[in-house]
Amino acid sequence: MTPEERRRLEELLSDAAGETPPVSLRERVLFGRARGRPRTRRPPTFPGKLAWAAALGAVAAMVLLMMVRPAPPRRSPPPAAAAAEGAPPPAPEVPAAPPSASRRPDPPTASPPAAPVPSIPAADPVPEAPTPSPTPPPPAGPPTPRPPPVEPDPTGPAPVKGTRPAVRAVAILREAEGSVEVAGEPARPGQGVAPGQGVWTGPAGRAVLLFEDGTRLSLAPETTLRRLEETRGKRVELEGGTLAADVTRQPAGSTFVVLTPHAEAAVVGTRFTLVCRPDSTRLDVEEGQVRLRRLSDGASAAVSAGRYAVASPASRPAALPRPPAEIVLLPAQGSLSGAEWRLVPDPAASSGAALETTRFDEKTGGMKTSRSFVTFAFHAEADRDYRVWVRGKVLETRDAPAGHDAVAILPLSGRFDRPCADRKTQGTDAYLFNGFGDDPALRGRYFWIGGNGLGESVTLRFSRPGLQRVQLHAMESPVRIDAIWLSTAQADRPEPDAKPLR
Amino acid sequence: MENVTEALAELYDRHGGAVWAYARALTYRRDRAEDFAAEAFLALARRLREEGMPPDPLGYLLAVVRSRVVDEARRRKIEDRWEPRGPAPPTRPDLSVARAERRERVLEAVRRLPPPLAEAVALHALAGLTFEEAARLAGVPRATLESRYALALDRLSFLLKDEKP
Repeated sequence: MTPEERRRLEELLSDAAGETPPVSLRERVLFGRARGRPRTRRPPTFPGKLAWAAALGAVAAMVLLMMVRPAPPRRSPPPAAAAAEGAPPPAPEVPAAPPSASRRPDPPTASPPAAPVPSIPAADPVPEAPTPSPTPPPPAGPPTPRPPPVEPDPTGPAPVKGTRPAVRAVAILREAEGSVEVAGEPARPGQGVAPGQGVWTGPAGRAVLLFEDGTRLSLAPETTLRRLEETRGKRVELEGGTLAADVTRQPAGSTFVVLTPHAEAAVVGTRFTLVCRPDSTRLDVEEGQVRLRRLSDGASAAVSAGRYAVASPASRPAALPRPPAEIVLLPAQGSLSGAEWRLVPDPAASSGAALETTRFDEKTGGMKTSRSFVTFAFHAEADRDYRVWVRGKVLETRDAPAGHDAVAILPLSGRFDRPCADRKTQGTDAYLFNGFGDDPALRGRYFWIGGNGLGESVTLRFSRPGLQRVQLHAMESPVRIDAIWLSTAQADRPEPDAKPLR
Repeated sequence: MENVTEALAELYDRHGGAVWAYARALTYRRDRAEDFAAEAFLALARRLREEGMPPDPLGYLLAVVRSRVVDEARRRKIEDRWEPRGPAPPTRPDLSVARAERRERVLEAVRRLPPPLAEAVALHALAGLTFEEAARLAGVPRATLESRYALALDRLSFLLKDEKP
């Protein structure tokens, strides 16, 4: 079987693997809504060998049959795509530099190595590997190195002696802002990128590459494309940084492959973002489907639209639903423990209900020993900065002066970016939100605060992806809480009546 | 109990697709595939409550599905353990009809393979296991599983000769 044929079949299988399970399955698993009574007669065991022994006999016979079966007809190569109206212009030719003796070593192959594969990771369902942000921020760590000037691939037709050969460009640099280099030289829009050449963007640089078939690659700042190839399909080596791709559907037998130091993403036609950090590669798929394969052992996952996967030494690829960037926790979502909090109807609250605490007991043992709090469970990403805003108001009573207005948030698997300057919370594992009574003009109204004081804001970062839990503790009373907003976009304190972004 | 529910939700998010793909590859009828997948997660929930997290949750889930499929085949005492094809599955609203039909044809081709070959494809290409993990689950040496996979691709190349990705 030819490699092209194998690739074609694996693409078909990859597409079939991406079928989303039915909603009814999720309901049956998580909510016990059985369509029929499931059989749960005995604990799972590996099946016996009898059924398989018979099947193996059939396989042996099939093998013999196949050995004498003529090879399947070879598929004719796909016809070249006709240039459609409005299609991008053909890539220009770029002059090739003279061949260089210092040829870059071949990139690692995408197929899993024949060496022994490490055992299945341990049972933790949530990988501890850091998960980069899905939006294309500049990658963490030191800036990625520029690719050294790479000579065009001399695998094309042999040049005529004495003339400067012209090599057809793989793509053109459609846009270039800030510092952008192609093959180690400053680049300008419209310039072609030849096979084997790389593209580098500096700290303020951005670039857009356009292929002849309309495939578009957007490079965020500090991104290094080590080289571009177009032999059997397109192949791009992403050494570091963030790459957003809008891939035109590829002809049969051809794929668009992005190779990073950790993983390979094989694409048929889709939109996705790939963030390559020193220790991991993250794939976010917006449209279509991409298979992400970890290079070290071949473990792979088919990632469909709206999902993401991370490949790193500590985390095998798995397609996970992408949590929303903006997380709003409303009172009715909270699970109440103890007697300090209660859910009360409140027409002034954004959801018609609020969490109220009027019976606050001094937490002599600290928050972690308190048995009275509200727990919120939700999905969020790891290693992403969520700015925390709390909307609440102080209740003025005869017994409680207006200054008693503090609550605290305690994430169970995350930390704030700094310790709160208050004796009631220590360290970065909890933060005080205080000040609902500080502004006389707003007293008695709901408004947003971002920390211990009106002008403060604080960010929260979870240590693992997936399901998160945070606790809301009363530190003073009486106070009502309308909403908690974990935002990746709202940098400034929202206006009192501002609605959270969705 | 709450922790088990949360853990189950996480495991479903993480492995639901692989378990579904594996079950779909081993049975023609979508409703039976759903039964097998649901039973696997229910068995895992029971395991979580009684004994804690298994060392390899995905392997555990796939083993349950595999066990159910084999049990069913034995009970029916049919030589070819695959079930008769059921009614055409409904196409998903977010997929084009052509793509959904192509997926069904691909899965059908996998199911037409001899069981050991189909399993090699289902474990490696559909559930995303490495050859090593798939071999461990299937109870065969890695080299055997790799050769089965190669053989399966060879057969699929014939069965799917007209399909284009």
